Amino acid sequence: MDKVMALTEADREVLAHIERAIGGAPSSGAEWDGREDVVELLLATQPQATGDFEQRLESRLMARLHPIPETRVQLHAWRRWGAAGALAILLIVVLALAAMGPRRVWAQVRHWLGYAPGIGFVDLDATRVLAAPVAATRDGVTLTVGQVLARSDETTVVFSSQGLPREDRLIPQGPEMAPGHAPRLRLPDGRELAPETFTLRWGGGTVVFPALPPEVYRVTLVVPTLPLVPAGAAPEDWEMPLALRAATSELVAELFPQPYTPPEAVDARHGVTLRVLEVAHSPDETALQLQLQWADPSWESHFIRGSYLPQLSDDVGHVYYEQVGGSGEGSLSQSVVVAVQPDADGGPEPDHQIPTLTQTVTFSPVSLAAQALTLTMGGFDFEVPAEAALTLDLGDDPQVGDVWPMDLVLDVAGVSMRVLRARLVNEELGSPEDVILRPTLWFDIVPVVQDGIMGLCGLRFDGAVAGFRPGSVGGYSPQSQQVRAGLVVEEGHPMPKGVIHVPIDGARLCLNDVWTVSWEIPSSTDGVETDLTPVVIYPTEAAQTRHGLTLQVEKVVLTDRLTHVQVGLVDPPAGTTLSAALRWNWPNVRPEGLSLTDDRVHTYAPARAVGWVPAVGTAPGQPMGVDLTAIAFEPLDPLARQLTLHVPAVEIVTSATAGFDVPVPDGLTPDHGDDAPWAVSSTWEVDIPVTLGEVQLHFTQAHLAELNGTTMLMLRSEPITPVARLRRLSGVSLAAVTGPDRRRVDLSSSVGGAGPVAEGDPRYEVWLGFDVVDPASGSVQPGLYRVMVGGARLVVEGDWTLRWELP
Amino acid sequence: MSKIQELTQERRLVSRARRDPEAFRELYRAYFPRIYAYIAYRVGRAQDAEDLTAETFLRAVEQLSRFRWRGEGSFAAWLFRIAHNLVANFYRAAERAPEPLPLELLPDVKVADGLPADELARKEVLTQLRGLIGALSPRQQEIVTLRFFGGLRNQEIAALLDLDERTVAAHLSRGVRRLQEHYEQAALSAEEVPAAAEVSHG
Repeated sequence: MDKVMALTEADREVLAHIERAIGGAPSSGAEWDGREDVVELLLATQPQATGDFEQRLESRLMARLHPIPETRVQLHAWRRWGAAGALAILLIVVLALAAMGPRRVWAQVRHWLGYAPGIGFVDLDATRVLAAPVAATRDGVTLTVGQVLARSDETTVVFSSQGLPREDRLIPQGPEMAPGHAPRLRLPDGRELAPETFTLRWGGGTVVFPALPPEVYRVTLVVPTLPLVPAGAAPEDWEMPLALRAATSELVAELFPQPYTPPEAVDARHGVTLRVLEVAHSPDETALQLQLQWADPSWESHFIRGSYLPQLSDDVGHVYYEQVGGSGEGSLSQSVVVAVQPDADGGPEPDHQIPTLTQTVTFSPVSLAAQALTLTMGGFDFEVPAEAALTLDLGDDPQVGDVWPMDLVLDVAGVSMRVLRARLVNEELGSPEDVILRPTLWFDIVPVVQDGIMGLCGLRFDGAVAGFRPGSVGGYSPQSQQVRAGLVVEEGHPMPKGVIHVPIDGARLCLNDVWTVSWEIPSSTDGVETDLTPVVIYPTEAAQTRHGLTLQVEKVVLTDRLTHVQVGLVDPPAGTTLSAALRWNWPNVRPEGLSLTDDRVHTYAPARAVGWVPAVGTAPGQPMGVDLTAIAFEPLDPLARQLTLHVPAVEIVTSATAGFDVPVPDGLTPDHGDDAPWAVSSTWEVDIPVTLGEVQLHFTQAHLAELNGTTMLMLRSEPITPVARLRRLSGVSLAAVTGPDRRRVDLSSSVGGAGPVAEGDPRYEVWLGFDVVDPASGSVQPGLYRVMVGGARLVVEGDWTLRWELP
Repeated sequence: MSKIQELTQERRLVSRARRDPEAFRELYRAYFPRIYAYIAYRVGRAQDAEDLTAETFLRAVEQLSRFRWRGEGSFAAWLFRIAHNLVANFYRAAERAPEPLPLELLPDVKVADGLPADELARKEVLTQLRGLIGALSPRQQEIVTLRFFGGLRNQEIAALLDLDERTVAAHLSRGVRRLQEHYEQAALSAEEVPAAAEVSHG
């Protein structure tokens, strides 16, 4: 800091003169001739921006200050700005379009915004970047620093490794970076910056350091050990010198995929608006910057995906799956609405902020043939405030297994909910390696009126008030819309007894609808025309018969992103349909059994994070079912002339039916045994032979089990010894179950399958389970149940080798 | 409007600007001419002045949520600090020093009483003044441009540059006096040239 200077009389005269001149003392008006006052000259000679720069910058700034939602928002101040801002942006784009092609328009309007794979959508103004990846190889392992973004508030480094041993063949050191092993950034003066946050992957990661000093353009990334790689498994003590450059529009365009803003990419339902703000396409991923806005300021949301995974599809037929762990963590911000208090000096009442959540999600790269994309979200969850309470008399000595029927209606967050019952069970808590059984008081709650769109899917109790552990645990069944909320007994504390008062201080609201946002991908104007239309082949010669089943390749679709092979049966026996081409020859686990190879001895890996569903015939917004008779592999080698599909086994379904009765004794209560993963009752013997077409099985044992949020009757067959090359039963399907009072049992939670009797035992057993709780009483309903089985699933061993020529 | 009212209005405007784009628009329109003029005098080239002005306001948008009102002049000081740092980086990054520029690359100069009517002539005046200011010490250059083109008061300049207000005033005063001396000397030199030419031809 400069030393304090004293003012002289001359100084004061000059300063007074300056103040008078600035205060607007009139000039003589005559043109200056070198003898006038320089102060007046300075005040008169004011540079001004040329053309419409000031207005263009104003429009750009307004565009950054996110536009208002188009509907449902009643904030008048936002509406005025939104229309003007949108018009200004439109004018800019229209004027630019007159001079440039569309691609360059996007670049000009948004050229400061880039998408950095591994980081996310970033503002590259005043940013220093790595002009090209930097790599070093030692002992067969290559460490690559892919990108560095040095911004005013932080420095992000993305690096990866190649040539490491397979992750599943080494024991990772764990999610935490050991002290002293974290990457560091060394400055030219020798100082080292420690990471503030990092996202680790096998041998690499995205690390955020503090901001670099403004004048620093050379740094060294120090990596003592590669992330998650055990000591000694790979070279250590890496030092990577990095030279940064100031980001210019040309450099940004060269290095980073240019995002574009899809016009009108928005869908609004039930007061919730989903918007696609930015899209970026790179060879490795497709990034979407999503924005979620909702009308009720009391709601909170922390993740756009919530319980519903986003789905991206194109107009060609591809479905792209989310790549979690890539750039998904690159950009997450949330604006939680706060009722802003007026300024202390009594300023005007401010407007409420619109709750907004912005998040970047990444998918696998989009096909070059795609011209349009559709993002589908199956619903959103919100944390909502709730104030309610319930009271329960536990009696003097509550015990595990006790059930308290309740018929209490509560208004929770505006939704009427009926509390059916309370149950005291031993619940499994802790990690799989350290299981702890803790008494838990569960409340089973259902909506009074089932609303398919909006409902509560979680409740939060204030357990401490009721004498339990603070907070609560919970569960939700989408099929029945039943909510479970539980109070856990604190370790070392006695079970509460007598009358308890349980406050409800929060809830989770689920909106079950489909938000669909579609947009066109801006076309390239580089003049190169490439026909990327998928090629469809129907190889009639690719068929083979084994064990009475003729398996055929029905259809092959070739795109730049995958090779999709559909198989089917030729003239199957009556009532038989193909349900799956199995990946392995169960019960022998050979995961490499299903394969696609070509005449160049290349084995095609399964397609990564992309699938195929024909666009025609698929209802918009409908969830894509998993078709196990089709397999997607990586894209075809252009030089391949012949393909061979090897299928080790298939699963078929026979439509044979059978019926039987099974009794459920009275007085049985599931409980946790020493080794039981869930509560089970004692086992009783049954004698139930079942014939399903050519299949015969014999159920010999039954027990009750706490599964899927209810109590189920589980039937187990006697062990079955497989005979080689014959068909093996892999499960049965329930058609209907009728309870003792002729009540039709809800089969939404039913289970059925087959598996080894024990590890290493070649024999297998079949099991079947269904709900035996009376919804009215909330308790197990003893008595005779009538069971109708609608079909059997059978595994048929192959192998099938299907070969065909390519056109 | 009284001074107190002006300050209260700006404080409220700044507070509103965090969530109301209309409020930020008002701040932008109020400060744009001053920010642009200050940067243009410092860097010269119109294109560079536009780039740095845009960066200044873009950063202001990003960082406004972190700004804390600390009294009169604090917002102006904050905004000009952004501009000041960008100008400093501009020269450091490219290792460049202020240089004479062709007139066509300079920004326009507002029409004002006493200035030539011709646009290029006004730019010549600008060039002359930039040259005179460039002959001052770096500290005096900074303070003179902030005072006359940024429109900051001594108190605001002091906050921006982390100086005592008296020091700012002293630098300003002595910088202006030196400018006056250099300006008058330059004018005298221009008048003497034709006489010297007559002598040489006589």
